[in-house]
Amino acid sequence: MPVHHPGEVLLLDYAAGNQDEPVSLLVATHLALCPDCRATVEQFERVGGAMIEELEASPLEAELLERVLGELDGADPEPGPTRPTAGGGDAWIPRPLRDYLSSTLDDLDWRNWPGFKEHRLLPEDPGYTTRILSVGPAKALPRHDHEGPEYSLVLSGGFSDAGKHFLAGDVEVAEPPSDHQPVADPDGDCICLTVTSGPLRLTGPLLRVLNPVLKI
Amino acid sequence: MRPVAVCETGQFSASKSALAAAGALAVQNSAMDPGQGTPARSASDLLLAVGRSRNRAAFIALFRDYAPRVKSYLRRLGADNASAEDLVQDVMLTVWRRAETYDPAKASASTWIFTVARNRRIDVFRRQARPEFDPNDPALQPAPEVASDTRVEVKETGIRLRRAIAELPEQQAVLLRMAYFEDKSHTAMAEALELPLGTVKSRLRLAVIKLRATFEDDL
Repeated sequence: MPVHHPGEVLLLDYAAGNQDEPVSLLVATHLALCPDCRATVEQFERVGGAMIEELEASPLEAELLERVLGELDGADPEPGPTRPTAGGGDAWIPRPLRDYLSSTLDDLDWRNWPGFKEHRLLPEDPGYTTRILSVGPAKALPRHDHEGPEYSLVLSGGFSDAGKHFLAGDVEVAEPPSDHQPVADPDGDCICLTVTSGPLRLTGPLLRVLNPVLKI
Repeated sequence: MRPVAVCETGQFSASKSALAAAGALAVQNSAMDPGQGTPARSASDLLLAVGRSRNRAAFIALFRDYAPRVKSYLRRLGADNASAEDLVQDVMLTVWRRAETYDPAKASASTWIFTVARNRRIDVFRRQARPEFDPNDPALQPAPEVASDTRVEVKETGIRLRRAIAELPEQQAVLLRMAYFEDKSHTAMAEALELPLGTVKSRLRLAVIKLRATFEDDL
């Protein structure tokens, strides 16, 4: 079971429905791996139910009910929410993340860097950088900072950062300022889903000059 | 261990009119719906009747009760009158289509309808997907078994929870309304209120502790 969680405030955001898709994707994938946080989100959804109960009723156009009733016959039962299906992720990767992958990890379109490789998800979302990172054994990510929070969910393997250790299902929340440098465990690749809000800045002594060029 | 899903059959004051309507209509419709021998008793029962037997009378009762509140929810979130009505229609049709998946052991009718409205709003107004875990996914980490004697049926959580929300200090209640009704994440709240992020988080945490205490009391 995961030890490091996204935190109640982020779970509340998710349950209330006010987080953007990249952050929601990370939270929901953590939920697939964390029964405790699932129970917490259920509680926050009950809060949402109670808050809807408390709202005053708005008057409806007189014909709205008739219009809805007229459409019931054509509305077939639907077994569940419709899901985006890029349709190719490895079976061990939990939904919803699996549905966002067009192929198995081996066949993804990776961009290679020294010690790690990255695959971008949701590239059209301007506020976030959403990536699957695969970091080699004992390799470190470049030291960096960001203007907004960065969330990392471990999918397999593990990493250490800022004195803490993260294993599969764990979420690291790095709030700015958080100049940090995650290092993968020595016993294998560490595969993570990482969502960074706001631009990322490299902060290592030599790498700083590369910031304008690299745009990791 | 935190309490896991407990059965909530809260009596909603808002549901009383719906019950009367459903009772009256159930009589008219009973010939069409042999599965519904007794009149529906709660919003939860109405939703089950829609899911199990496509009971139109039950749907109409749910509509009368919830559609005006769903509209208020969408209006609070910034929708104009016309698009709120369009989305109410969409939400209520989704309720009709998905009612089969409603599980009263997991959520009250209001909670379930809240999640449907929330998700449809994200889909239509934000034009984003709403990523959710799949309870039937083989890759899902299952919840540990809960001993059956600790699964107590909850009768009045709805009322107790609403009271706890009403009793929150205003500076916490404001944040809760921003979260649920203004589409603001905790970082957006900090910007809007010109408060440090840490202050927003600690106030929300205090609110969350009080609300979650009402669930702990259930067990």
